[in-house]
Amino acid sequence: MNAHLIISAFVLGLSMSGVYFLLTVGLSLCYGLMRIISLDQFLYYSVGAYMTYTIVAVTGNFWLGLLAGILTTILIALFVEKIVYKRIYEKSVMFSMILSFGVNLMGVGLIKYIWGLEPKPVKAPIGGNLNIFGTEVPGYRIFVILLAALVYLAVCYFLNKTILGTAIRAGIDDAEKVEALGINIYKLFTLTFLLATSLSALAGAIHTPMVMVVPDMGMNIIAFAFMVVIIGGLGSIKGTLISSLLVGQVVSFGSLIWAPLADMAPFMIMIIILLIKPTGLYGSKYMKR
Amino acid sequence: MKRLFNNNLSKILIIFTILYLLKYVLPQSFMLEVIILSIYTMGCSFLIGRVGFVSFGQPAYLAIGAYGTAFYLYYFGTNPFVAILVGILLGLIINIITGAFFIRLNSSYYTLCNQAFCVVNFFIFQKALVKYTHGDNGLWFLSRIDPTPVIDLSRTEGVFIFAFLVAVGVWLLFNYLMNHSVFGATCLCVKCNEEKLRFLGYNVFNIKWLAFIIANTITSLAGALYSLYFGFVSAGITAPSKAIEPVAISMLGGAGTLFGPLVGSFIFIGLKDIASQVISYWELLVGLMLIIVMLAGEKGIVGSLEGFLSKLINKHGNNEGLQATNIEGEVGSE
Amino acid sequence: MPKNNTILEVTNLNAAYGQSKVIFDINLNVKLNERVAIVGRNGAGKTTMLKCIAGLLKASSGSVIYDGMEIMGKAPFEVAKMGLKYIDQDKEVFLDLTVRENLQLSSYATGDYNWDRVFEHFPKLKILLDRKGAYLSGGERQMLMIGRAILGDPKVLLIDEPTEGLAPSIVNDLVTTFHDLSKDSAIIIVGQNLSFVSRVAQRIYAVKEGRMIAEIRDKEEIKEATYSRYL
Repeated sequence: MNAHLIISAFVLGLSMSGVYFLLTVGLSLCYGLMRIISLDQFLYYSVGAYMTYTIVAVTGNFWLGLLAGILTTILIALFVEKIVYKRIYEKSVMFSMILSFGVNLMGVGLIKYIWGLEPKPVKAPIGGNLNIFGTEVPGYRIFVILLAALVYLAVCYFLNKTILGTAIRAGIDDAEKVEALGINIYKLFTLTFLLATSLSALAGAIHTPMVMVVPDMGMNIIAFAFMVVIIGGLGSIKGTLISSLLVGQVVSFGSLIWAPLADMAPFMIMIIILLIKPTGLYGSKYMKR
Repeated sequence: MKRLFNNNLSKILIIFTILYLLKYVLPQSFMLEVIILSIYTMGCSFLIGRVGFVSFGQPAYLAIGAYGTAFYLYYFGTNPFVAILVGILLGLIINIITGAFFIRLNSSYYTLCNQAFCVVNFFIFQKALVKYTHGDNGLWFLSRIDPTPVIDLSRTEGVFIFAFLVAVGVWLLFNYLMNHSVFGATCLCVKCNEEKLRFLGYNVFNIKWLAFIIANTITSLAGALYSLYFGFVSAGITAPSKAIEPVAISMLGGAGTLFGPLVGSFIFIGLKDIASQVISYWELLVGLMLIIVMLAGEKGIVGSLEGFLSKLINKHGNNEGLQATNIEGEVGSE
Repeated sequence: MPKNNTILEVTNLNAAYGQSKVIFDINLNVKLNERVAIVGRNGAGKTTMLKCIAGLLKASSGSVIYDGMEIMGKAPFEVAKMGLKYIDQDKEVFLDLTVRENLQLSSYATGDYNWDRVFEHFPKLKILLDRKGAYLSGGERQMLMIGRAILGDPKVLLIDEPTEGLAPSIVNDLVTTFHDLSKDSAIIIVGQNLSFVSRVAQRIYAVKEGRMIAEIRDKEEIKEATYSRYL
């Protein structure tokens, strides 16, 4: 293994971490505040990707596609939240998992119906290579890494410095008390859900140049996303960041050693971490509910 | 009449007689699929309704049983009975190991980990062991199955009778587990309030572990039957997109009820057969069905009917079924 | 203005957890600037009663009229916004938030950014502004919970077990605080600390097994805590 290989694998791993982070941070936030596991985030990821593909095919502008993807999913999410989630916020986590998987499955069926089964390619909006220590690295990957880092900072800023973010943090602690203060907790729920959704859509959109857009893309990434949330601990932003960095590298270097290892190594790491700490690295103490 | 319906044993007898007679009305392949699918769903339904574990990874356990049988028939021997035994044993061993890992997790982690396990299994069978499993092309071994005496498993007719008998056995087992054993009661306690059960002096870990092993070994058994029936196994059997099917069927029929899996499977396969002529994207329907069933209340068809029927048939008899569904209702809405 | 200053009037309130009924036909009324206590044993249904009034639990029947308006069935945040605040008994402020953020949240909810009144009652909070909830003592948490509740000029404060787990000296301070607070709003406290109740309350309701069994108005009786015979 030479240095070039290691550097490019490292950068690839980082860019995958970026996608994983964008996809799972919403999942984690939703669990923290609403105590739901929103598996339909994987649908929004696919929809974000498909909208990007469609708009790029029509106008040729990637950024317009990205925006369209986010807006479309926000509309879908508003609808889903109103129809489905409003009825189950009070119920157990099991409910939200099964229901949101149902939403996810239905969405995949609709995607197949609308866009068909064949894989669709999307060209990277940022071409060219960057030279890092003598290794040529695709510029787009660097862009993905930077974007994910920016989103992390923005989410942290939002949660720690704005009043709505403060309310969300308080709600993660105890939602009933937030309501007793006179804050409409359901508006916070909707806001958090939409935030999660738009991040998922963003993940889907920026992932398009790195993979083929297929109807099952949400299903394909589901296992990795789960591993990221579980390793990091549900409900923790910091944990999600660290575990997505970890999983990204494991997948990247795993595939360098032996291709099937890319899929299996994260699972083994997850099992090991769960053996040591059954709630994940930064799992919150509120896991019982 | 009252006594007949109060007794679960006679209910099993009646329902399976009807099921057997249906063979003469409906296509045999349809009935066979219903029976195997309901055995498959039984484990999942038991775990959801009676232990409180929702698993999105059941295909993994199914695949282990199926591949155990397939490996034996493809590489080693020709006796189908031995093959089924190999499938069950392989399932049992792997369930004992994975169970010890998964049981320690709380319910939401359990669900997600199982789904991850399912996907990893898919990759193992599809890519890592491609030399032995032939990946998506699968193993074909129908012609290698030896004719056997009494029940000829090399013919579909024989497989049907065998699967039918297995199903009766499985139902008797689960009837005993759910309604007549302390173990079943403790399982329900795990679902309602694990902490209190621990205070009573039970080893909760062992109870959960045993429940996991029993339920998922039955799932592996269903896998072995599938593999025998089709004479073919490919990695597609554990495809992640199929992971929700047993959960959907459990919820449709009524999770944790004795006959929920049967009713659910019957409707599910029926719908699938009808719908496949109209609509080519099956996920759409499963998803929609799941949403409707969950929003209509988590009791499912049998759960809703049971309360209604036992009220109707025995106004003042024992209403075991009714009580069971009531307990679940409370837990779900907690 | 409602008749004879009544700010809160509860009639025939019933509530149940699932199948089991917890409180039965509760009637109570509170005037503005009045300090009322509800006493009763553990499990008598006091907390359930308060939570039902505040909308945090769904009552099965009855009516709650606050400031001339029916508030039964309203969402808890609407009730709180109208000026009826519930203060939980578990003394848990948001652990991850500083005192400042706790107050900011309450200001955001009520639109009242005037914290002087809070500091008037609890000068200590001014020093603790940047401390996180997790590092506050029990008394400081109680101060913060009451402090953030009085933002937005509530007319009724429902305070559940205010003295539970607090040091005696802090309890003494609370008596003065409650007297001060009642200049602006009505206060309903729920408690088992009879000496505290005797020093604060002007009127006492006794609750047993979910039913209101007595209303004590007699000053002497309140002072001597002879109402303990109802418990």
